[in-house]
Amino acid sequence: MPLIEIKDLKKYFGAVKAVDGVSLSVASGETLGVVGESGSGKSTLARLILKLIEPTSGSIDYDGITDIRRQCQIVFQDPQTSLNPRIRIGEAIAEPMLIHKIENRVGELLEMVKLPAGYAKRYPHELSGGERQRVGIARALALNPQFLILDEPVSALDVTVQVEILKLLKQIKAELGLTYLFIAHDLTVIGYMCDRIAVMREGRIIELGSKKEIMSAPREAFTRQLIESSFII
Amino acid sequence: MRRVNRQALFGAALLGFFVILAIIAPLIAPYNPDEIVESQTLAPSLSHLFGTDDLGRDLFSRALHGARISLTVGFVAVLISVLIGTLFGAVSGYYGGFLDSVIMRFVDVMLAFPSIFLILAIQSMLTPNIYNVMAVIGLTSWMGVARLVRGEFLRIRELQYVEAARAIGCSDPRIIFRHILPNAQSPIIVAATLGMAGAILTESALSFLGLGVQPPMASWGNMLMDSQAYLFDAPWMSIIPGLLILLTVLSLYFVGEGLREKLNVRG
Repeated sequence: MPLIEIKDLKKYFGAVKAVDGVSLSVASGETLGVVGESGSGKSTLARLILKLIEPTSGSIDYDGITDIRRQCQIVFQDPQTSLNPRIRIGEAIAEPMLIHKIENRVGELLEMVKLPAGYAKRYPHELSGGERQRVGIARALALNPQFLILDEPVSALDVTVQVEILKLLKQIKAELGLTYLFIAHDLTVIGYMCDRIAVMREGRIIELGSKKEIMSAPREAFTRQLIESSFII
Repeated sequence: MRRVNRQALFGAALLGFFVILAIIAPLIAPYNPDEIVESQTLAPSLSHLFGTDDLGRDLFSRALHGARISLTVGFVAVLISVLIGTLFGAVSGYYGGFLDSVIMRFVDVMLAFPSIFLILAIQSMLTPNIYNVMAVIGLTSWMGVARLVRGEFLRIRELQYVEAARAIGCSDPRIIFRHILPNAQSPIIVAATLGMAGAILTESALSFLGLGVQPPMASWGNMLMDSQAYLFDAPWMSIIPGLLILLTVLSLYFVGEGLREKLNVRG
């Protein structure tokens, strides 16, 4: 059984069909990419999986995941707003461990995301975008999750920093044996990170296949458009 | 960027001076403020810096003790209004939905009453004393804070760090008090400063009308009340408390505006 199995999931906000009948499974240990334009429902899908919002209909089954708040985590897109400006880095990373009453290992986590231990005493505004994103990753890893959703984790960063963060994410995945759901609008990034790719448009998954299938032989015109546009940059 | 706001500095200095005088009033007041020490309505002189009032009490001593009362009433009233306003605003903005509608309609109803008449009506039913004055002013002035805090909560609850807090399993109270409220404090501080000016004015108005702080206890408002009949014969009796109220309220406005600028608060 896959780690996460989604069946005919729908989430409507009034008349807006943000997620409109998505069926998808995430296998343990893989990196599944979800690509699509802004407003295609990718982030809503992520929040549904994390049970941050309730679906209108449909189901999500988790295999071996009993406590979503502990075993599933998320890294957000915007490092400017994903950290509370009034909380020091060390406290921000320690918070999940404090809440779930597990041993504090801030030092270890900072080391894992390659930040100096002294950063624990700093405030978010003293850090660069890339550094803040590392803090976001450390916080997400604090509870030893099995499954990590990366919601456009590099799209707000400079290109050189993007590469560093992507490498770090790959390395962490290999070290900890994590499963990733990687959301992006840029197929270059998705191609670098993912094993399988789902293409989303207007709340639906219009194409799903291995990286090779999607990148070399896309069936949908929209996917071809995405591929072309990603190489122009 | 680091331009010092002269007005705010002036306001803060004057306010600080008044607060210190109010605190050490019993030590520096030359006479007992409630005791008749001299002939009536003496003009200011070296032995009575601000003169004496219609009963022959020393106005300088009364002004000092009045500062204690007026500033305390203003501060406590604003504290009550900020606490209530923040609580309602936080619940309203954070939970939204039905609870939000109920609270906001209640705010509308409260705002629909002309507040000074509401206060007068309530005060005339209660025994007018200093505690009731604080409570009544606080209980009738929290609506602005509630709206403000609600707005801040609506904005901040959509930020990613709040979502991140939810994702790691923070409870609602923890999100409200640790993640949202501290980031909403700047406009609350500004509103509290300006609100204190309003509370001091209301206290003066109430005491002036005889429904606030009761004689012989001195407040700037009831000192003004005592002066009514002597506007021309003993103008210092009205000018001094009037000037003190003016300067205090003005200082609070200067400080409030300065904070608004410094803390980058809109509106």
